[in-house]
Amino acid sequence: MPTSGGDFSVGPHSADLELTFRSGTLKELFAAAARSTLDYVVPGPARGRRATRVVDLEAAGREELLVAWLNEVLYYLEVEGVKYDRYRFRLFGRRRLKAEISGAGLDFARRAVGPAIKAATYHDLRLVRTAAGWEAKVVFDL
Amino acid sequence: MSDEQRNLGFLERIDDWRWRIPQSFAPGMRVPGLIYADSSLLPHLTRDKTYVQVANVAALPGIVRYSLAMPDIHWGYGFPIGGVAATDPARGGVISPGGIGYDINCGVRLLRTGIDASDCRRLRDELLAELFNRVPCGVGSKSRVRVKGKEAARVLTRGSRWAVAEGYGRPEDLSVTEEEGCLEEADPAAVSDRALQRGAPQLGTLGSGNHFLEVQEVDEIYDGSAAAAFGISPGMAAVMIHCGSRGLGHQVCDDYLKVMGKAVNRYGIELPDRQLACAPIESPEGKRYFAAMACSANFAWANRQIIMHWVREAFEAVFRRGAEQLGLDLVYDVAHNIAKFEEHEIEGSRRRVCVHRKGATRAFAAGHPALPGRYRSVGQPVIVPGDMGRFSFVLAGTEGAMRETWGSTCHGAGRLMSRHAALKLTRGRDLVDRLGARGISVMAKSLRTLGEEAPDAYKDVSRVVEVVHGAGISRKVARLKPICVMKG
Repeated sequence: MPTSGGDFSVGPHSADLELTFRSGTLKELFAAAARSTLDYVVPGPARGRRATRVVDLEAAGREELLVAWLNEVLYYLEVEGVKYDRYRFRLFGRRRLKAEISGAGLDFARRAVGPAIKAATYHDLRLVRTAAGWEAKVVFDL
Repeated sequence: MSDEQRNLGFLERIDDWRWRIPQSFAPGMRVPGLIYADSSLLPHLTRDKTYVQVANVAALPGIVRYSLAMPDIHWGYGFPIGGVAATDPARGGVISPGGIGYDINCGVRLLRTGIDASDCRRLRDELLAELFNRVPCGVGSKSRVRVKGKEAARVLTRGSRWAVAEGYGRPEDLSVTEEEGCLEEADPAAVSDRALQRGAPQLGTLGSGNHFLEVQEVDEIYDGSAAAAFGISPGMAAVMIHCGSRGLGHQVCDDYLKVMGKAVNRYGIELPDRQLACAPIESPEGKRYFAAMACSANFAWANRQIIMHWVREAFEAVFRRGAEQLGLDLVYDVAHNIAKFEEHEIEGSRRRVCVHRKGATRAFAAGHPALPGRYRSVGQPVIVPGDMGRFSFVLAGTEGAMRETWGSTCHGAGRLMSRHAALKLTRGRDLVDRLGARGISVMAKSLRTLGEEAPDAYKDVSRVVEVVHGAGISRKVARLKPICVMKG
């Protein structure tokens, strides 16, 4: 199970999951956050059929957009069984993002997984610029 | 006095079981907070500042009397887990998806059996294998039940009634299910296609995380007459099922948090936490959310009803007798993440309020018309799961709960430790061995999830139950201990 990495760490939330993500640019942070979140549920690479789709998201602000983005990749993990872990952002604004996401299918019956993440929440949500780039804290409901 | 107790200096002690957070604690509190805890549970509040979440809930428009916290309270998102709040629609009261949570109508049901616990213990590995084989669980699991289109809409509007009509269980199961397993206000038009796509393939699945299926032994009886009414006696085997509305509820919550995020601006509502986003109950947004929430609640009841049917089949296969002969009867099914309209006594008159229970169980007293006839003289059965190494409890609802907590009590042990910390302490494999040495068999789809759910990660449910019993908001009826445990 990944508990920390170069660009994220696990916080002390007693019931759910608090992850802090760090990256040099905002775009990298969104990508790293999505990858780390998926890795938390299903560590390691997916090796099934390849899949690609376009997502187009709007939200009230940058923080809300991060939550919508994370919930989007979690949704497709659950509904399609695809770990979408590669991202090409076509539009990356303060309130809207459009991206081509690609990944591979998972055989849940044959691999070790962690608990499902129900959703990224807005509780204690933080997205800030730091000396090293960007940092976000997200609490997930497990 | 410990540092933790000193840090709680702002709390006003009412008695051994009750602590008040005064309105002066934080700006925007419309009512005080009221926490049920004893001196052993109170220090947990400071470790994660759960009391701040109790105070935040007190800021909801239209909240009546108190923001309440049950003794199994722990840090959630928006509402604390273990939080109860009633809002008055006639006084601008709001409904907040965060006050119900993502797993709408997560709940517990208990089946009694006519089987000696010793027989279940002897056959526990065979039983566990049958259960594991029949009830899909874990991340990515899909059900054998297929519902689409109009059939899916019928699940959402009819809940357990749909399941029973399809042959999953018996008509008499309905009378011992909260709301008879169906909220009438459900409207499938309020549920997004996205939510249905996520949830429909999961109807009849247990899920992962803290959800479980457990065969237990009735270990001790505290209230003989209530236990007799519930059909529970010492040495009897019982089965506890804990799960909810799966991806359907998760998506409904996510969808409506976005709606409510806009509604707070439209209605000029100021909140201390975005996760408390809400709308007036009587607004179009509030009504639509309630209709979607009711659909999710019905889905969850159908889910538990289907799983219970497969549990009965598993017992039939192992004991080679019919479920009715084996006495596999539902004691009761309770919801612990839900909002409902209920009538309660407020300042001398009956008023209709919207009771949010987030990690809290309804605990109606004897005589309440919502209770089935056979329980009306003793009060509603309350099912309180503990952890897989210690105990679970059956309680009964009381007049104290009706007076103080909108007829509510605790829902479980409450987490003590983060999942990360739990895993550092116990590996899933070691836990299987450790519990096995104590005669408890465990089977899990994910050993990692199992480690995160280790008994040490939870408060001692016995302490929690002592508080609700001592405070009089429910009373102890029976204690159960695990024989075998199935986890996702």
